[in-house]
Amino acid sequence: MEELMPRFIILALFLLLVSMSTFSFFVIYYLRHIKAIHRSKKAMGKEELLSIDVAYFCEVGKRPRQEDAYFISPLEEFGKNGVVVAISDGMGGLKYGDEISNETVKQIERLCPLSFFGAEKTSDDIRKISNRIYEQYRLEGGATLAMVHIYNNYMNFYSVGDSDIILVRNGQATILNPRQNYVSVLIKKLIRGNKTTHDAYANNKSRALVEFIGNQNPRVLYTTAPIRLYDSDTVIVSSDGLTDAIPWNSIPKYIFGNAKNIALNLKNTVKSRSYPKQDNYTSVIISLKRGLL
Amino acid sequence: MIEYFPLMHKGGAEEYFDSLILNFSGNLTAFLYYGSSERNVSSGTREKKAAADIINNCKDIPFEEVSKSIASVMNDSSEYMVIRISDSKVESDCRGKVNGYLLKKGEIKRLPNGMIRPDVDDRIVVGTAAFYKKLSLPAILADSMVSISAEEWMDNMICRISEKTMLAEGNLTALTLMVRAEDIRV
Repeated sequence: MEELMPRFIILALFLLLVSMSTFSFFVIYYLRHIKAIHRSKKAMGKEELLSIDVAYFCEVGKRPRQEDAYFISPLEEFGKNGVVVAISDGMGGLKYGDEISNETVKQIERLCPLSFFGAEKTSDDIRKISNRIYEQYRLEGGATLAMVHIYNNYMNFYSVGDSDIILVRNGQATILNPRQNYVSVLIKKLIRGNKTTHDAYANNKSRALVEFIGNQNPRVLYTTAPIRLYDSDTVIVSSDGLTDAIPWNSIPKYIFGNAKNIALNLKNTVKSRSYPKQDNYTSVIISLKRGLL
Repeated sequence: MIEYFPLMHKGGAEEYFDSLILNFSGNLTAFLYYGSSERNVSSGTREKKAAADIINNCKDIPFEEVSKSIASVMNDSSEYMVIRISDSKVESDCRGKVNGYLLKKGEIKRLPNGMIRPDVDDRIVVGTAAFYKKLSLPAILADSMVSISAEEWMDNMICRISEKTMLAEGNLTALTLMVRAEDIRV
């Protein structure tokens, strides 16, 4: 019995150390989390809320099947939870592009309602979605994801791949999310060598994605702090079928009237171009206006 | 702490005419000279050398004095910016088409001449007009918000400029700065 006592004391001390370390970790984690929430809430303050007007289209183009998928959270919950809009574009040429894009938006829907102040957690959840899809399809397909969460005049966005989140403000369009393709990787290499970047665009294959849903542990781009939105801003979440047909910087030409008008303008313009290789094109248009919902 | 990342790109120009001089003694003092500006191109060797001497020896000298010393060695037509940043204050003085932007609480605003108090997570970019030419304000803001480092923020903006110019036009000079609660990173 006496021989066992020192061992018992060492074990007890070890367990105490482990439990104290675990406790400290959670205290630090939650303090940082709570501070981040507090900062975001403080930033948002109390001001007149913008209302939203939403419209969408989802067209097959000249492809044999629809590989785009979309999700719009219930608009009646806008005041409470904001609105979440997601578009996923199945990677062309791969076997399960359509299944994966549909699965992605279904799983995004299951995450809702999202916490607006937990962008890091949401990005982690998206990464887990990708990992589950990787386990199921083992790189036999993939999809992009472009997603926005608008709440109280602010927007968080999330992006994997090269679908577009476009902000139209004061007659000027900006694609907000950096594209995760091989061109970006090459540009970074070339600039380190103080070179121009012609070589990065020389090969069409360099447009290939370096991150996508269905890849293992993809880098999910997300806003570490929300972006302020203003009256008359328009946010367009879109698959690249739209910007293949309409150059993104000419989109402001089609922004007039309500969201439904804008959606019709864009959809009809793509149709009228009649490109023989027109990709699937899906867009959700969110117009922000002053006034109560 | 302040995290920063500089860009000094020659582009398609014959020479790198701009200048970016940094001094890290105690806080970060930076001098950004727009030598490739149409008003200045190919000039400024004497000014740049004099400014470099002032910046390299600016430790413990109040910002106003540094700024005045720089002004005294510059031509009237010189376009430049001097900025000093620490955890507790940002002081800046810009002349001509060299600007800074402050990103705070999801918004982007022009950095005023004078002094402001930064908060943790504030971000600042300073650059020449040539650097900003192909960037919109929402693009600068969005690139910053998705970036985990000052280097990544700069890379994202460079990719946007590259889409339009293939970085072949002229000199590009800029500096990204992030106010961190933690340690300094390059």
